[in-house]
Amino acid sequence: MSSAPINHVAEHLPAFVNGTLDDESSSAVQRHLDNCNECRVSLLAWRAISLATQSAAARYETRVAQQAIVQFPSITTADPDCPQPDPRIERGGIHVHTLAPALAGSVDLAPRTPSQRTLRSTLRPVSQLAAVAVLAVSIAAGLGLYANGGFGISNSSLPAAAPANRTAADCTAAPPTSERWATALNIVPLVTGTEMNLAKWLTPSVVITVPKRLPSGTSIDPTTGEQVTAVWNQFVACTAAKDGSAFGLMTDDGLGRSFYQAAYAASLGSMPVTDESKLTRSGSEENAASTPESKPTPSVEPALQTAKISDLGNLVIGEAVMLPDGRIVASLLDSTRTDQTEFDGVVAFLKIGNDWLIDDFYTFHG
Amino acid sequence: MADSVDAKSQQVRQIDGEGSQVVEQAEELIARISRGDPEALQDLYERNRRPLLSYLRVMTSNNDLAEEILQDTLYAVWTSADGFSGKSSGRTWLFAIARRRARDLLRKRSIPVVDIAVLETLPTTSPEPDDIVLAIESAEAMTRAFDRISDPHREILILTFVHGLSYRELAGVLGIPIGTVKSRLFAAKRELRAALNESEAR
Repeated sequence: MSSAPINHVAEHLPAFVNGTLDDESSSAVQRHLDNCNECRVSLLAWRAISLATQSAAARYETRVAQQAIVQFPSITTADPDCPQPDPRIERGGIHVHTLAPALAGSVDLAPRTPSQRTLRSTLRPVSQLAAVAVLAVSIAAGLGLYANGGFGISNSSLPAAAPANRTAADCTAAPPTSERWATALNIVPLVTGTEMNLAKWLTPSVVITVPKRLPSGTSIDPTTGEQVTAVWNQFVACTAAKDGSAFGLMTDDGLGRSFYQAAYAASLGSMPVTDESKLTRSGSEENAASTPESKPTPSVEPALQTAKISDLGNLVIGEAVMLPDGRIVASLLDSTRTDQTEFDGVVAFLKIGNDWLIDDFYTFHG
Repeated sequence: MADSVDAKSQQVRQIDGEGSQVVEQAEELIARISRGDPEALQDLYERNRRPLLSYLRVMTSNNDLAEEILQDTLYAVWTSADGFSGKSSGRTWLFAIARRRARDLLRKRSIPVVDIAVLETLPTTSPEPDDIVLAIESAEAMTRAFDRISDPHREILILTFVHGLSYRELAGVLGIPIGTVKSRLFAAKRELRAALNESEAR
């Protein structure tokens, strides 16, 4: 039987919990803990504090991002023509600015060396990235911008007329709870920097080729078509409500995409797009996405400069197909357009239980 | 017992000419910045933007202010990189600059900065009897209590348990001796416990 420990290890427990003790010290603490009930209770206390701290930090981050997301619709309403983004202009409550564009243009850095003169040209692509980041805010709020080539729509299997009853008053969905946000976003690894792969969230999950056409899939039955159309109409109504209820109609992955795209755009961080998700151009296989070495996407930026925000309330479901992964992807049509030769966006639905939920969507306009 | 020596010093991955991964320390990036290399500044920014912003948001409770301080911090890195002596890790240096910038800005805007000296006591080496209260409390109550503790205590808990800084790194960032780091952590624990007791008494 071991004797009662005399030298407690309480002062080392915070470092033991956060993993910053060296191996030798950690082993010594562990040996002591094996024989000391008092210190084991203290260890539990520090672990509880650690979890509470991480939870509080994650909750705070979530709150900040939620505010940004909910605020966004008012921005697009106030700025319908969407001029080329100025990263230091305050729009609708979001003060969009970041280091990179500041270095690139708005703030004069005192030159460290003659080579500092190259700073602006080096960082200019990052300011272009800021423009792409603003694009992501639009995606997250359902008012995305994108531009591609033309595509003639034919054989629409679903109604294309603008439906009525899509106002805020028609929204019956509830916003996601804080717990669901926390679960869906799994934000702690991102906050702590242990998880750096954001490509999953920052790139579209549906590949659209140019000329624009939906991905390959099987046709859907009319009942399912009516169901997903109803979900889309609810989404439009709830987006008009501007209270976050639209997010209650999204899958966890959909929430993740909305959150991280908006959060990144709000802070105008770089968007780590990878080779894994490419917007391909048929024939040339040109990538609109890019590797980290060429993060700015010049093929997107000119489109951004001339893009206009479409009115979400006018977007209706067009064609729809079921993908091999079980999701339904539908084209979105602007019902106000008389020259409807191409579709204006896509929305992907995933069935969770008995409900179809929105897994991803974005719009094109050129 | 020794603390680890900057065990989690920041690293940045780069691709060399032959396609293999090369790990570049934050310290090396700072050295490149001191020579006027803007790409190194960009790499350092991209690697540290998120943790710094997260920390500054907690410090300021204001997203815009946090963003502003982050820009100030990176500007300070650009202009003072040659002052980095290498005695601390690059991450410690960055967090310390961000913290100084935050405190300076808060003072300039007449936002009170709590004098931590009055809150701290001697570090403890023994377990505390009331630890059982913290150990068995619900996560929700703990998180609520966390919101009610003082800013310096919230700060050190965030740096310790969200950003994973060692005692030595904490000392470097906060500008205090390691002994004070320990006593502040224990003071934070006591304040957390008091906040829990207070909410139960209501």
